Amino acid sequence: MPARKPKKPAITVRMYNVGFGDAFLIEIPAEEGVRRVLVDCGTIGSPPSHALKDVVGRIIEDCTTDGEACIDVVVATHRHRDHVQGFADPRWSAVAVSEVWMPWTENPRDPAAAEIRRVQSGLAAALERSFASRAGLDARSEAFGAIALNALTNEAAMNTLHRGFTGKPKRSFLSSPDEGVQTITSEALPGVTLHVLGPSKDRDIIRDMNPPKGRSYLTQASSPDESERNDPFGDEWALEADQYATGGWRFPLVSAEDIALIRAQNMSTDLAVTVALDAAVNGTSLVLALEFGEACLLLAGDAQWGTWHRVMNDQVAADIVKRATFFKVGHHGSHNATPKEFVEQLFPRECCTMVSTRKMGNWDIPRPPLVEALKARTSLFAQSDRPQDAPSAFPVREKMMIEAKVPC
Amino acid sequence: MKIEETLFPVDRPKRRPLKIFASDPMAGRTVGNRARVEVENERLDPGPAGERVQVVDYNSAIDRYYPPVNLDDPNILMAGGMDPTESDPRFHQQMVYAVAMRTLENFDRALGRRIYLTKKGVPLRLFPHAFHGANAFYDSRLNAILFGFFRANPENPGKNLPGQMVFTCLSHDVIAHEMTHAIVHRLRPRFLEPSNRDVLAFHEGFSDIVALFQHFSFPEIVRDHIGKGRGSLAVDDRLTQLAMQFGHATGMGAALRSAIGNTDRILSDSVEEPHDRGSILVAAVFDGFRTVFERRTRDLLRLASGGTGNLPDGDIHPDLVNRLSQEASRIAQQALIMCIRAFDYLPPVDVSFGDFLRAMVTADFELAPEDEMGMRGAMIEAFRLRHIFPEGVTSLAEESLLWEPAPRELPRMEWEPSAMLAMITEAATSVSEDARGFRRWRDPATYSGKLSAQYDIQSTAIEGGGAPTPVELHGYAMKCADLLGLDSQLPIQVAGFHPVFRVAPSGRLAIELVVQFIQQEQASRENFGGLPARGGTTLVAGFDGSVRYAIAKPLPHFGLAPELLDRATKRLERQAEFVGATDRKDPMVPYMSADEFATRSFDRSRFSALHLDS
Repeated sequence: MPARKPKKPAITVRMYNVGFGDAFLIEIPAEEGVRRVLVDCGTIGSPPSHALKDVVGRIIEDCTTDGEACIDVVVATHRHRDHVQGFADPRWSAVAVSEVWMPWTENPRDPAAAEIRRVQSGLAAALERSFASRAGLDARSEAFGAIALNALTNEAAMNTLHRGFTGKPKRSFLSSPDEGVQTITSEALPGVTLHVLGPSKDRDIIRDMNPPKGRSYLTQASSPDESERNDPFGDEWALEADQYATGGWRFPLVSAEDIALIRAQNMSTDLAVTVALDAAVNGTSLVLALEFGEACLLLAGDAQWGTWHRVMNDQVAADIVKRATFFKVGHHGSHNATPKEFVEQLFPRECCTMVSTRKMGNWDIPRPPLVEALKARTSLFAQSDRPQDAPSAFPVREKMMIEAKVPC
Repeated sequence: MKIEETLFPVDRPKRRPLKIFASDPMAGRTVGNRARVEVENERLDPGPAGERVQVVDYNSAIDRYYPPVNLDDPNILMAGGMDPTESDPRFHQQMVYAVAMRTLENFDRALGRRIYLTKKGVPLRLFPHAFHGANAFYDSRLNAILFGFFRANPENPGKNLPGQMVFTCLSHDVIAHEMTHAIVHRLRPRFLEPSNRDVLAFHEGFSDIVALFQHFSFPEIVRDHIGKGRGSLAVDDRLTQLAMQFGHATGMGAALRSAIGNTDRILSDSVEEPHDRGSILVAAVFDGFRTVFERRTRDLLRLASGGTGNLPDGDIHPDLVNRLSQEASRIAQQALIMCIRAFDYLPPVDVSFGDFLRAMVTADFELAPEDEMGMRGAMIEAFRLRHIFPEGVTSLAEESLLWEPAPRELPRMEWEPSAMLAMITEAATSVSEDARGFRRWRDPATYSGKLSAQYDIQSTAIEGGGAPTPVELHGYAMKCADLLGLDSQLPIQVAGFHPVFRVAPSGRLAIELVVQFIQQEQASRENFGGLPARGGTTLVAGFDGSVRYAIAKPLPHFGLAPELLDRATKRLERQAEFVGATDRKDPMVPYMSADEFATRSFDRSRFSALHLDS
C-alpha cells in the first residue's frame, strides 16, 4: 500500500451558529494535540433550532479531552451581549483557561477606560428605562430597544471574563499603538504571532467611544421622578384639552396627527442615542490578526470606521491585512463594520471568509451588496444561518456549526 | 365706543414693549440679563397668536396645555410686558414670541421685504414646552419649532443647580437659532438636503451667527461687557458664547460650541459634524466683525488716553463705555444685515461656505461699492484666515470674489416699469404693518412648465399688467437655458421670485428682481441616498430688466462649456462621495431596512436629525 500523502497542516475554525451573535473556536496544531482560542460567545437572537446554552455546551464539549475542558485563550472582542452573553453560563467555572484577552477599555485600572465604561453603561441603563416606560411601541422601536439592551452591562458574563474560569488565567488588556501595530507572542500559543490592530488610544478613537449625543441624554434621563420630570409647572397651571377647547382661544387644539409627530420626534432622539451608543461600544472592539505558519486570521470584532480607517492608512497594518487567509466579517455583515474600501482594495482573493449572522426584523443585516462583493472575491464564503449554502470546502456544515480549514 | 375714542382717537403705537432674559435664566439677576425689547405692535390673540407666528403651549409628555398669555391685558401692557420668571409659563410664551419676532424683523429689514412662514394658511407655530428632552428643533412637516425642557445634570450641573429644570425656550440663543432655521428653510428649502459637507453646516452656522449678533442689540449687556473688558470684545463671555445654560446643564461644562477666539480652528475636510463645521463659519464672521470694531474704535481709545491708545488702569469712563457700546451694536447690526443680505445672491441648491462669502461680497458691493466701513475687506481676510476658500476663484481679491456678471448675450427681461412701481408700493405698505388689511406681497407658489396644471396663476400676488409672472419667467428660462446654465432637456422649475428694495448708504434706491430656477435629474438617485441630483440658477435682474447675475450650480449637460461641464460633473461625484462618507459614520445605517437605506438622504434632510446637542 503506497504511503499516504502527509496531510497539509491546517488551523480549524469553527463558527457556531448562535444567531445574531458571535462564537468562534480556533484550533491551532501544536506538538501535542491542539491549542484552542475561543473568540466571543454571545447572541441577542438565537436561531429557532437551538438556544445559546446548547451552543455553550457544545463548545465546552468540543474543548474537552480526557474529561478536562481546557481553552488556551479566551478573547472577548467587546462587551456587547451578542459577543459575551454566553459567558454568563455557570459551566464556564469548570473550564481551564490560560489567558483572557480583552480590549484596553476593559482594564479596571485605566481611568480613561473606566470613564468610557461608566458613560456607556449609564447610557444603556437610561435608554432601557426610557424604552421600558413607553407603552405600545411599534415593531421598529422595539427592535431598537433590543439594541439598547445589547449594550447593557451583563454582570455575570463580565464577571466570568474578569474573574472566572479555573486555572487563574492571566488577563491582558490589549490596544494598538497610535501608529503601526502591537505585535506580541504568548506562551499560551507557541508559534503564534499576534498583531493588535485596534482599538488604539488615539484621541479621535476615544471620542468615538464617548458619543456626544449621549452626554446630554444622560442628564435628562437620570431624573428620579417620572411625573415631575414631565411637568415643569405643576398642577396649578394645568389646562386639560377639554378646558382648553372651551376657553375661547382662537387657535384650535393640537391635532392628533401633530401630537403623533411631536412624540415621534422625541422618540427619534432615543433611537439616535441608541444607535450612537451601539456604534460607540462596537468601536471598542479588539481587532486581531493571528499569524501561524502561512495562516493569517483576521478577527475584526465589530470594529467601526475609526479603527478601520487607521488600519487602512497604516502601511504596517495594511500589509498584515493583505496577508489574511481567514476573515471574520465584522458586526454580522452590517454596512458599517466592513468598509467598501477594504473589500475593494485590501481584501485578499480566496480568503476564507465567515459571517455569523441571522436576519433580525427588517434590518438590512447581513447587507446583500457586502455579501455579494465578498463572494465575488472569494469562493470560500460561509454564513452561519445558511450552512446548506456553504461550499464543500467547509468540511462540516450543520445547523449548529460550520467548520473551516485554514492551511498553515 | 366712547365718544372721546371716536372723536379724539389715540394712535395705535407702532411698537410693543416686552421683556425677556437677554441670554438665559442662568445669568440670573446679573446686570443686563433682563432686557426690554420692542416688536411690531400687531393684533394679537392670547397665545400670543399673531399673523406670522403663534405660540401653542402644549406639553406632549403629559398631554396638557398651559394657559395662553394675553399680551393685551392692561396689567401686562402697563408693565411693558410680563416680568422675567422661570415659574410662570406665560412669561415663557411671551419670551418665545418676542425673540421670534425680533429675529423675523431682522430678516425683514435686511432683505427689504416681509418674510412669511405660513404653511397652508397656518403661521409658524412655537411650542415652548413640547416635550421632555435636552433639545429643540424646527420641524418642517409640523411647520413648528419644538422646545424641550429637562433637568440639569445632577452630577455636573455647571453653573446651574443640580437637577434644576432647564427650559430651552428661555434661551435667547436657542430661540433665535431655531427661528433662523425656519426662515432659512423658507428662503432656500433645498439647503436642508445634505449634498455636500457644507450644506447642513451652513444652516447651523448661519443660525448661530444670527443668534450671536442679536446679542449686540441689547445695550445693557453690551455696556456691561465693554466695561468689564475695558473696551475690547474679549472672548469667554455671555456676549460671544451661545446657549450657556444649555451647555452647562448638559454637563459639557461650557457654552454650546464656540470657535470664537480659537484661531486654530480652521476649515478642513476632516471637520465633518455640521455644528462643528458651522462653528468655523461663525468664528470667521465674528473675526471680521471684531476687526472692524477695533479699527473703528481706535480713535476713541486714543482720544480717551491722551493719544497713546493705551487706556490707564482701572475702570474706563462711562462715556467711553457708552460710545464703544454704540459702535459695537451698530457694527454688529451692519454685519448681521450683510450676512442676511447674502441670501438673495446664493445659488438655490448645494451651497458651500465659499458661495456664502461670494454672495456676501457681491450683495454688499452692489449696494455699497465703496465699502466705507471696511467690512467687506475684513470679512474676506477673516474667511481667508479660517481657510474658507471659494471654489473656482483665482484670488481672494474683492474683484475675483464677486460673482461673474451674467453673459452679455442674455436678453433683457421684459416688464412694465410701472408694474415694478406697483410692487414697490405693495412692499412698502406691507412692511409698515397696520390692521386695516393691506394686500400683502407673498412668495408665489412654485411653477414648472411640466406641472402647469397644478399651478394657480391667480395665486400670485403680483397682479396688474406687465409685471413678471411665473409663466413668463419660465418662458424666459426655457428660451435662455444655455446661457443660464440650465439644461433645456430637463424641466425647469421657478422655485421662487421676489422683488428686492434697498436703500444704499448713498441714499440710492436699489431695486432688483431675484428668481430661483431649479432642475432635478432622477436617474442617478441611487448614488445620492435617494435624493435626485439637483442643479439650479439664481438670477438677479435690475430694474430695467437687464440680467446682472446668473449664479448657477448646473447639472452636467452638453450645453455647458467644457470647463463648467467638468466642474458640474465633479460636483456630483463629490456629492456621491459625501453620501458614502456620511454612511460610514452614521450609526443608524446598520439598522436601516433596505428601503430606508435607499432613501436615507431624505431622512437626513430633517432638522430633528440636527440636534442642539451634537
